[in-house]
Amino acid sequence: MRTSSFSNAKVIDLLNGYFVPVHISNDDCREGGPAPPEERELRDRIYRAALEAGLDAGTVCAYLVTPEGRPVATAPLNRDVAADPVKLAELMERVIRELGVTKGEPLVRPLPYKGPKPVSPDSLMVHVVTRYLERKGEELVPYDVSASLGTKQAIGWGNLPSESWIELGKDDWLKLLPADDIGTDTAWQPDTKVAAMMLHHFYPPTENTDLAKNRMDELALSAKVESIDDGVVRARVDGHLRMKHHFYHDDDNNFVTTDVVGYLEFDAGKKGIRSLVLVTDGATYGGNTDFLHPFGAAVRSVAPPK
Amino acid sequence: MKSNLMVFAVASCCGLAAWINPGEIDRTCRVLGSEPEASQHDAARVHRRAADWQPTREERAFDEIGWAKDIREALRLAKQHGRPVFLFTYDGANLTCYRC
Repeated sequence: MRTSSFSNAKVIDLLNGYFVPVHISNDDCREGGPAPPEERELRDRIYRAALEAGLDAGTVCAYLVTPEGRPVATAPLNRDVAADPVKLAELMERVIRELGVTKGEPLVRPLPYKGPKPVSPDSLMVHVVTRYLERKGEELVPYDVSASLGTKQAIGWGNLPSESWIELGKDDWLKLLPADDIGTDTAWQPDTKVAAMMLHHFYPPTENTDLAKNRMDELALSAKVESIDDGVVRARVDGHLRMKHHFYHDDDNNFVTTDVVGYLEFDAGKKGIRSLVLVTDGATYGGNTDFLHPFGAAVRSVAPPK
Repeated sequence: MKSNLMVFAVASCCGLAAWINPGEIDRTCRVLGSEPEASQHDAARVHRRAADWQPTREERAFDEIGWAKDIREALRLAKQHGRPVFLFTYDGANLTCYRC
């Protein structure tokens, strides 16, 4: 949906101008999930009301609902409407006409997601982006999807990057730094458990996002000081990762294999990490077929959202 | 390569939208002058790669939608303004977190 209908200018214009758009993950609604019980009840009520009204419904589905909460149209994903922006826009326009809705401004101001607010002001926030790559000449580059995004043809796991935000508490990020005094020839091994908090996210977009299913087979990191200027230490980081990561939810014998390279800047007094960047080098994902998909993953430290 | 990925396609809903502090870009792109040339070259390559892989504006289209924070808020606004609700339910990671 994100690559097709939710990237389509007309659908976005209809959503903002005539509807109150909202989304909810069924996973969040499971027992013990983060969705409040009231949200689960409303989702279930709309689902049941759609069925009672004789409409198609499903777990992955768009429900067009009157202001009173009555579904008047649905677009289950498996009915070839929800992810087809042309058909979805037609359905939305039909509902707009039937309900006599007039166009207005978005009722909720669109805002980019900036990641979670850190629990502690001493934390280091890092942002991870991963995406599939393709070879263009000598280079591996992101897919050029500019012509297909927002169309039905854009459906596919390879067409958008994935992102994660991770909070490293002070006790964690300190373990990335050398334990002893620092000199221009200092070399050390950053703590692999802390490194794993970031590198567990080094997999390309897949249906499975459960980090607990990852199996870290190889993880090695080393760091070496390259310079110390005005109390700022700059170190190069090199490493290697091999991690089992299921594409779907069951074991499908797919692996991430990559070298890692990056740079770490921190105060010589270890009062804080000024910047951290790590990128994959030669990353591939696969194993259950002959083809290994090239992909890239990058970690960057970011300022926390205000 | 892409056709192989299409085999995996079920319900594409993958992530987008980076929030990158402009100051962060300036800082991460800085290459200190005191390192050897080879090291500077490596650092520039690492930072360029990280920048090149960030989501583009087109890939952030999802952020142009004014999503209500939950169904309760959506229904409240719908009643208040006489607008229908567009509710999308799905399996997998929350779309807001850009990992799916």
